[in-house]
Amino acid sequence: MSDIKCDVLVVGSGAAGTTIAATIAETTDLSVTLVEKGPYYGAEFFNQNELDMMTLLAQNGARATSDGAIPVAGGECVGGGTTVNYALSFDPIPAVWQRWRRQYGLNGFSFDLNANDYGIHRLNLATARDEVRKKSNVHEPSDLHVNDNNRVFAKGCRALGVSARKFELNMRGCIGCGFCGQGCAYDAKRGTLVTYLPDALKNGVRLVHHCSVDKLRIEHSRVGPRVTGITGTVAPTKPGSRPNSAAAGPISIEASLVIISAGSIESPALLQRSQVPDPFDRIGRGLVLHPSLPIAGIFDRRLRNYRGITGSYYSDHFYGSHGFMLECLFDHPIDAAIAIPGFGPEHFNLMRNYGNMAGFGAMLVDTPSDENRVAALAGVANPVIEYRLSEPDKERLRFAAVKMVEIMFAAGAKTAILTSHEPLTNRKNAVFQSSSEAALCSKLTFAPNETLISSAHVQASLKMSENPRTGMANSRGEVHGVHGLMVCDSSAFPTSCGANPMIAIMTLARYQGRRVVGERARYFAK
Amino acid sequence: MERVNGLFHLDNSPAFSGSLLAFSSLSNFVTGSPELSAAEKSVVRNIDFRALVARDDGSFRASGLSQGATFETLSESERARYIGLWSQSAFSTRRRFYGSVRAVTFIALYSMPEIWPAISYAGPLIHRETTA
Ligand SMILES: Cc1cc2nc3c(=O)[nH]c(=O)nc-3n(C[C@H](O)[C@H](O)[C@H](O)COP(=O)(O)OP(=O)(O)OC[C@H]3O[C@@H](n4cnc5c(N)ncnc54)[C@H](O)[C@@H]3O)c2cc1C
Ligand code: SF4
Repeated sequence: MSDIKCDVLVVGSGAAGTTIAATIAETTDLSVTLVEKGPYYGAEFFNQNELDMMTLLAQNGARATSDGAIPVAGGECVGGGTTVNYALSFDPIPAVWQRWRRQYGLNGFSFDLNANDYGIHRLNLATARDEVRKKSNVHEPSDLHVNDNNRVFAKGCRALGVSARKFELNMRGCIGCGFCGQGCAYDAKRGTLVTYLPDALKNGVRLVHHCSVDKLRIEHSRVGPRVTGITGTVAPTKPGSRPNSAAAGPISIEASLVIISAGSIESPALLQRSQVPDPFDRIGRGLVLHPSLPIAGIFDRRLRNYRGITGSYYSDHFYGSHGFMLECLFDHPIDAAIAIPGFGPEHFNLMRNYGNMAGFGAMLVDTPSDENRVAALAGVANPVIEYRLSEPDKERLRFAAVKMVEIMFAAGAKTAILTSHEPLTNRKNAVFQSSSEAALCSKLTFAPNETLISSAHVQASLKMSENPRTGMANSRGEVHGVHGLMVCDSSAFPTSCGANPMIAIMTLARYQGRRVVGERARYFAK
Repeated sequence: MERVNGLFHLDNSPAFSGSLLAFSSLSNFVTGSPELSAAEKSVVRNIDFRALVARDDGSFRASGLSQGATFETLSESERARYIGLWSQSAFSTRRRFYGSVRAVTFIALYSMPEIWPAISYAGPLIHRETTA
């Protein structure tokens, strides 16, 4: 049994965990331990092989909703989602945070650069955001690595009067290999693996990877329950990982403050496994996941699609009216094959056109519902994700599908393909031969397992709210009624943050880290 | 197949992996993909598909296929019609099974460098064996 004693323990080294650990260590002498379930892989490990790199994903990429209908992607390695994501960077949206302040009674979180939230000098979201942007080198790249796929998408949008604009990305020295989703082999993608993690290590943070936290240790006293640490298991170091700082076997870590940053699926599961008091049945409830519907198109010429930066253009044209964005993305062969409907000769004949294909997707900001949730069930190894698309969300996705087919043809495609086995046209599956067939998408039923919807943006499963009936944690991220326990990751958002979430999550973590330092006496005796 | 099994802890029985391979045979191999070696094709030819579709007479009837037929006795187009029923079945579990088998098949198939030229995919830019 390994034992560690520290002031701050952060569970999960993804977007939030690494950022908050580094932020606390940056300006204090507090001892900080950062534990991560997955291995510590670096650029030397990422080999751009789609199958090999599935090991970077939660459940090797097989994580899905309980009915199997929606794959729910997540990173499970040091850096978490930021190691495997596409670097699409959106600033936190002030209107969303204002709404949260109103509806969930949240305090602080000002967007004024001069604000001193909690009386702490320059503590505000705008400053935190700017620091995160700078560290991650968020910027709009030049056109150098914009590939044909992105160009035809932008062209298709503009031909129909749909606005298209360039993404900001967190990269530096990108060579445009197109493998962001498999880990950057060039250290050019500025995920937390190459930004806040080295800072954290430099400032003395102890990283224990291959370490799955099984339970929180909770002591009960007259003032209520207090979390005093965790118990977990360190797995043997996998080949290809950098060395670990703790031996394989059971581990016990004691800390004055435990910060949960295990992501929106694992964070609520950990709280449930640990039997953290939940008088209002809030743990895991109201999960949102940004359901995404991809489309592919076949052109009559070769396109540079899987090389070059994967996502350069997006459209927020329908964001105000219908709550979705169109985002350019392109899959490598395995994921492409799964997205293309059908099987057998018919499927292979579509796949033969891979070199002539274009692809993009609609990402919907979904309507929250308490029925959608994460639960840790006894005897079931992985957290159970229960999720159903609401009727209004299906309606918005139908509209999105119509627009996507129209855009695909306006871009010059000869055939458009939705990832659906619903026989919309008189052809098998959702294969379209002309723009005039686009309206058939309004017949999509979205029955589970018939149309492939996917998710990579889980959020809001341990919401912040000043009212314990509507959220698990207060504005500081402290779990209601429990001492020594904070939540700081995508699960702490009360609802969807309204866009691809990485930068908003890191901004929250930077902010909370600064706040913990400014309110040090609240947590630590020394 | 071994690597796919390693990742997903599938039932390692030959019948099961055989079935999966048969599915991919159906998907692609038998369509005469010239990129695959004779050895690979022969693996596929010797597959026992029974585990996957044993005693599924009901579906055989529903697909208008001869009653009492077994999967092996079907022609390629009959096999395709039979499996096509899964994808649009009224039963969500059947659709789900279809989806999973499909996913595992495509993972196995499209991770094979031999197949990449057929789809004009040039593969990784760096050439490095993983140690995982
Ligand atoms: C394929 C993919 C593409 C994406 N693309 C984009 C994009 O382009 N732009 C964008 O803004 N967002 C993108 N996202 C989403 C974004 O990466 C995530 O929203 C973000 O990383 C979530 O941050 P987090 O801190 O909540 O959790 P994560 O980053 O998921 O980190 C949680 C970490 O905790 C670890 N953990 C879990 N359980 C335990 C445990 N019990 N013990 C110890 N450790 C544990 C996990 O292994 C993981 O490393 C993408 C996500 C994926 C999966
Ligand atoms: S596209 Fe750029 S940032 Fe992405 S993996 Fe390749 S080099 Fe790295």
